[in-house]
Amino acid sequence: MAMLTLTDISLSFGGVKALSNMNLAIEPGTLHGLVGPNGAGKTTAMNVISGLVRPNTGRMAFKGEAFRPKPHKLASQGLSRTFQASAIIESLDALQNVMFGGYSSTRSGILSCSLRMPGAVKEERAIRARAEEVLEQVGYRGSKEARTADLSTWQRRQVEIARALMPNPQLLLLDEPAAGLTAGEIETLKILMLNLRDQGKGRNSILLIEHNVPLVFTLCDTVTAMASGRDLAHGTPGEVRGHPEVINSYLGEGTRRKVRTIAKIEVPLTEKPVVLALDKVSAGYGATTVLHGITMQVRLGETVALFGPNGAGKSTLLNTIIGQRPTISGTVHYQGKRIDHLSVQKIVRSGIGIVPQGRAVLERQSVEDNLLVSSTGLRLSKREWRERLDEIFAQFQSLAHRRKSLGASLSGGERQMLAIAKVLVRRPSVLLLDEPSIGLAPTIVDEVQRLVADLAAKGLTVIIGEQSVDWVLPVATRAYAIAAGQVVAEGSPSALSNADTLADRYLGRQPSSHCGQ
Amino acid sequence: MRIILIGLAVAAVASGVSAIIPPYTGFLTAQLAVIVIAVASLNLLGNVAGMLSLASAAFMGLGGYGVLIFLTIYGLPLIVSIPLTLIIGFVFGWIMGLIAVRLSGISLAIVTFGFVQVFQVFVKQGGAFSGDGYGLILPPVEILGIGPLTPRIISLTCVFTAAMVLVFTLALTRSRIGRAWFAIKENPIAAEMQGVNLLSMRAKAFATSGAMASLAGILQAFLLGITNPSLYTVDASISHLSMMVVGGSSGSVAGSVLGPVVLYFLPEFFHLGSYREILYGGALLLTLALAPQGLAGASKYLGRYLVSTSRNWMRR
Repeated sequence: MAMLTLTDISLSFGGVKALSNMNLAIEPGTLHGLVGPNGAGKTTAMNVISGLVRPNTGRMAFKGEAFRPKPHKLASQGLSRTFQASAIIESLDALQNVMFGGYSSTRSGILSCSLRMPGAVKEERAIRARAEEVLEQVGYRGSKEARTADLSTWQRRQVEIARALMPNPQLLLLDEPAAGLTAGEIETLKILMLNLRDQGKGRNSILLIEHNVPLVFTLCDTVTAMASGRDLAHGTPGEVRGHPEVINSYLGEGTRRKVRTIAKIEVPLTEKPVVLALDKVSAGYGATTVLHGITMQVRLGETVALFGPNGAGKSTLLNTIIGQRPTISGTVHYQGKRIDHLSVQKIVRSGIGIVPQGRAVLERQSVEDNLLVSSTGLRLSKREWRERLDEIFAQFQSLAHRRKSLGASLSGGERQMLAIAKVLVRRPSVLLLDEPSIGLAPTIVDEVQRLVADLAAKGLTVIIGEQSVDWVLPVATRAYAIAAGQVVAEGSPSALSNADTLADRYLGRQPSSHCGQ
Repeated sequence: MRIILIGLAVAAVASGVSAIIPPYTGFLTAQLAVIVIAVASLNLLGNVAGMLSLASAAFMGLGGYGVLIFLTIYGLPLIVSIPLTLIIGFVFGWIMGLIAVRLSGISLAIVTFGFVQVFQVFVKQGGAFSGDGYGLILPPVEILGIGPLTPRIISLTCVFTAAMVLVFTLALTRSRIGRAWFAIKENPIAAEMQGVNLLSMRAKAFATSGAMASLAGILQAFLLGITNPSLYTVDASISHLSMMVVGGSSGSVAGSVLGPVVLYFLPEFFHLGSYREILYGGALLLTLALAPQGLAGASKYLGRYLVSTSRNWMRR
């Protein structure tokens, strides 16, 4: 008997069908993968299971009984989840965050807690011991008293998973646990998930939502593929992978990587003027220096890729260019003028635009208002503004349909497009993209790739900081490899990525292609 | 239990010190202690549980009027009046919390402001309960046959109580309940997923904060010997709130002490008189501009900085 079943679940938000007749069955003791392109409804499905939203129609059953989830009862019912966006409590240290996961198993009241009565002390001790055990289980090596702001992405993920494990759930829901991790960390995560499944001795299951489809297919016992709010296929990874509808909707193995509209560049780039020049730039956060003497030059119309693993300093570099991070030493020149001492506002107004990693979309504003906010300081007349909007919507067809929709209702892919549109509406001459592919399905990444190629063809200078090398290679004209805050190599993108040793050491690519591990 | 023992020791030392200093300074210290409790109540509600309240003055008034009504009008003994008043503060806080749970930010602040205004109406129009609008006077009180309450004993009690309140608050914020409050403040959905009942947890935060502020009010009534409508206007709430902000946003106990020390004790101690207001505004602006984490955050940062630089220096 399945542990959790969803039968014909439908749900719509204000006219948009998020789920339509969705079915799902998770068997006990399995690692179950849920895959699907952006906007397929994966996170909505997880929100339905965890009781955050109530479906309009359909039935759910957990361990054979009808299941009407309530968020605050979930942990005691045997379900636990992590969130796509970090849900770490920043006010608490690492250990306290995990201890918070044991909340539902404790009962002490206000008086008992504030007077540290024996009951409360006993509970606290038990929770602490359990938290330390769980941190051990997830392989956490950092300091237990560390402020969460000082933790790495992987350590934060470990803390979040540990917190979800505290109530000893029978069903663990993991929402994008691999997002933003390096290849090495993903390997560790894989082993962790398999261990968790095996330690459950055939009784505990894990539901995994992940954009990293190869990861799901190599790891999971069973997979459900979703598209536009419903389930397309269930079965073993092999079965689902071979399912024609799935291939069409999501993987698109046959269709993917066909479009290669790369700008034809007539003038050799070396003759174009240098737009952006960095000379021995060092920068960092507080006491820690992240960038150590970065020197680079970007010429007009170039598309430059910054490769490097997590924490190499790509984001810091882009943030330093835009003035978000002050430089410690070195200079940044833009169109011959020194800009490293200028404020973000002045730099943005001078024509550099950045699409930050978090996709800075205003959730409570409509798509149009989001764009309007970004036009601050342009002093456009009403007519000019309409023209710009039309121009943007001509370029971003998917956004044109959703002009009046709130930012919060957009899918991950639409958000990324809006984030880029918000920068383009200012008609910048240099565009900085920070990890634009994070958390996006391959088809959307293709769309981003096409967009970048188009923009480059129109003469825009683009700098992309990116971990996943594949999609950038065909569009980039030049690349820098960055590791530990230094430029370790510069050259043509393909030359850089073909240097296997370099890729291994710095780019964190999967080792499958060239060595028999 | 260790934390309680340390707290007792600290409280004993603090009371000992306040016993040997001159009477005026002793009175100031006792006033400071009262304000520290009020600020700690706001700190718990605002910086720990994430809810903004302007009602601290009303809850203090509830404490002050409550205890004096029980003592004078009903003639109850001290040992009964104080717990009864605290329970009233807790219950009113709970009710306030139930009204407030669905609100946040500015709407919540306005609702709590409404509570202060309603309380003002009571203390001005409450008939015998409000001393016909002039306030109540503390009757001579005997404690368990030890003798009359002298100003010195009251001052000592204030300081001792404040220290204990801080210890208990610290213990509370480091417990399952404190963790749940921090989680509600930062990420209500994630908190709910761990089993936190948002409604009851928010109500509990208000109730605890209400009882704490009532305690401050009780102590203040004993310290001043009177209650008066002008003590419990929204001005008092706002000054508590600014002390909370200057103290720090991390919900730390140190913040609840540092804010009142800088904004109340130092100006009074050095007789800054009318310059006080300037200091008030200046300190607020300076903190927000230079140390958004407040004095507690700044001193923590300074401490860390000193430790790391001295380490580097030693290495050299």
